[in-house]
Formats: sequence, structure tokens, C-alpha cells
Amino acid sequence: MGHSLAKQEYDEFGKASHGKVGMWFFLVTDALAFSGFLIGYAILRVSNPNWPKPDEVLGIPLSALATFLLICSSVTMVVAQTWGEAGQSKKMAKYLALTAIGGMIFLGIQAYEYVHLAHAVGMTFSDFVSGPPQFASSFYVVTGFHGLHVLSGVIYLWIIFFRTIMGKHDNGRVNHVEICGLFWHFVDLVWILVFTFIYLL
Amino acid sequence: MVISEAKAKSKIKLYLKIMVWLTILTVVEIFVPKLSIGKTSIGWLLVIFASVKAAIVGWYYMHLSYETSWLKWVAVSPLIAAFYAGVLILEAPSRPYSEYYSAPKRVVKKLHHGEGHGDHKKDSHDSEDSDH
Repeated sequence: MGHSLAKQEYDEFGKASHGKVGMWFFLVTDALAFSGFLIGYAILRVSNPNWPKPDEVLGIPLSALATFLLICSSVTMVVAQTWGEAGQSKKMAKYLALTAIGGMIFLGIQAYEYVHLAHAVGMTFSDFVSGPPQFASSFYVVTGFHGLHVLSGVIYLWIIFFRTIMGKHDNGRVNHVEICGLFWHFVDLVWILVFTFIYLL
Repeated sequence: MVISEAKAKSKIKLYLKIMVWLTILTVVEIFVPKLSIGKTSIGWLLVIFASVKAAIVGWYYMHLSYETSWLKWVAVSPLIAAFYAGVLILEAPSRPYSEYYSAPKRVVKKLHHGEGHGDHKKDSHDSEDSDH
């Protein structure tokens, strides 16, 4: 009776586990937080006739490389999960590590970019030498918020990696890996939007 | 629950194909701003590129294709923000232009010349306080 009740209660989400549904709801709220920042950026930009062309200030090739890197790390994440589903935990651990390393390289690129922008381009958190300070501030708010997500994702990935090594995700028990994957793909998805709206548009 | 190795390999093949598509879309997207088709068209093209890429990630990598329609609706619910963005962006230019938007220079000067005068400034600030 209790079992059938529970089943009925969650029919809306089919076979999706509670954790997975929970992560999706969290991602919805997180997406709205990013939306808030991006809308703020858009409002500042359309209200300001002196807004610079982003591609003349920011380094497109480097951030395009970072975009490619995040896409790659998304692939290694799904590949990790798939090997986990096939019960091959060692391969899963290998690809999880690759994913986390991809995220760490992304953070390295971002750190380099920040230092370069601050010293060579004159873009600090609160100021910008050749344009409105809002351009610099909103850039750092949006990319910084995303960077924090990458950092959280990297920590999350290493935790899942060590759990895998300890044998907690053997025999196709990849629910937690999939939930972690959802977060990681979300970070990739948001970067795709940030790259377009902040760097290219 | 465990799937076969052959099944895993075929899934991975699909994921790699999708990665190739995402990469192609990204490379093409980088050249969109350089097209001479007008600012508005470039803007819309970029929005389309970004949306398609985001949808591909959601649909395949986040496995939305396997989920129930309920979860799909939950997943796309933040799109309401796009509507909100549209309204606010259309409304923003009708507001009066603020001088606040164009005053970065003085802060920059302070940053460049401030180092040697730090103590002096602090002193003058203190004396100002004692005057009050």
C-alpha cells in the first residue's frame, strides 16, 4: 500500500529519482539567478550609448577555447556516466577525473583572463579605463558567478570521483553521478549563453 | 540495471557526434559578429545559435529526452526570464539618460596617482573630521 502510494505520488516524474528531481528544481532557481544577472547586464548596456564593443575589449579566441574546453568536459561527463551504467567503475573514474581537470583548466584560463584584463586592459571590478565602469563590473559579476559554479562543480566532481574509487557507484548505481552530471552540464549550458551574450553580442 | 558494453559504446558514439556539432556551431558563431548584415540581424542570429546549443546540451547531455513531460516543463520554466528580459530591454531606452553612466575617469586617476598620497589624504580626511 505504502509502496503503491509512493509510486503514484511521483508518477509525474516517471523513473527520475528524488535527488534528480531536486537537482532540477535547484537548477531552475539557479537559472533564474543567472537570468537576473544577464538581464541586469542587458539593461545597463541598452541604457548606455558609450558601451564598448565587447569583442574589441575581451579576448574572443581565449574564451572560445574555454567554451570548447567546457563542451569537452561535458562529453567526458556523459561518457563517465555511460561507463558507470555499464558497470565499469574504473573507466568511469578515469573520465570523471578528466572532467574535473577540464573544469580546473577552465578556472585557470579565467584567472589568467582576469589578471590580463585588470593589468593590460584596465578593467577592474569597479572601473574601466576606456568606457563606462558598469561594463567592467557587470562582466565580472556574470563571469565570476559562473566561475564560482565551475569551482563548486570541480569540488563536487572530485567528491564523486573519490566515492567511485571507494566502490560506491559500482554495478551501475550511477544515480549520484547523474545528478552531479546535471549540475556540470548546467554550468556548461550557462557558459554557452554567457559566451554569446557577454563576449560575442 | 547494468547496460551492455555494446550499448554503452553506441551511446558514447552519439555523445561524440553531438560534441562535434556543438563545436561546429561554436566556430560558426564566432564569425557571426563579423558579418555585414546589420546589428539587429547579428543579435538575433547569436540568440538563435546560443539557444540551439543550450537546447542540445539539455536534450542530450542532461537526458531530458528520457524524462517525463512534467520534468521537461520544469526544466524549461526559467525561459520565462526571456520574456521578462524582452520587456525590460524594450522599456530601458525610454528612461532618461543618467550622467552616472559616464563618469569613470576620476576613479581611474585616483588609482594611478593615489599610492604616494595615501597618508596625506588620510591626514586631511582626519582633520576634516575634527573640524566638525
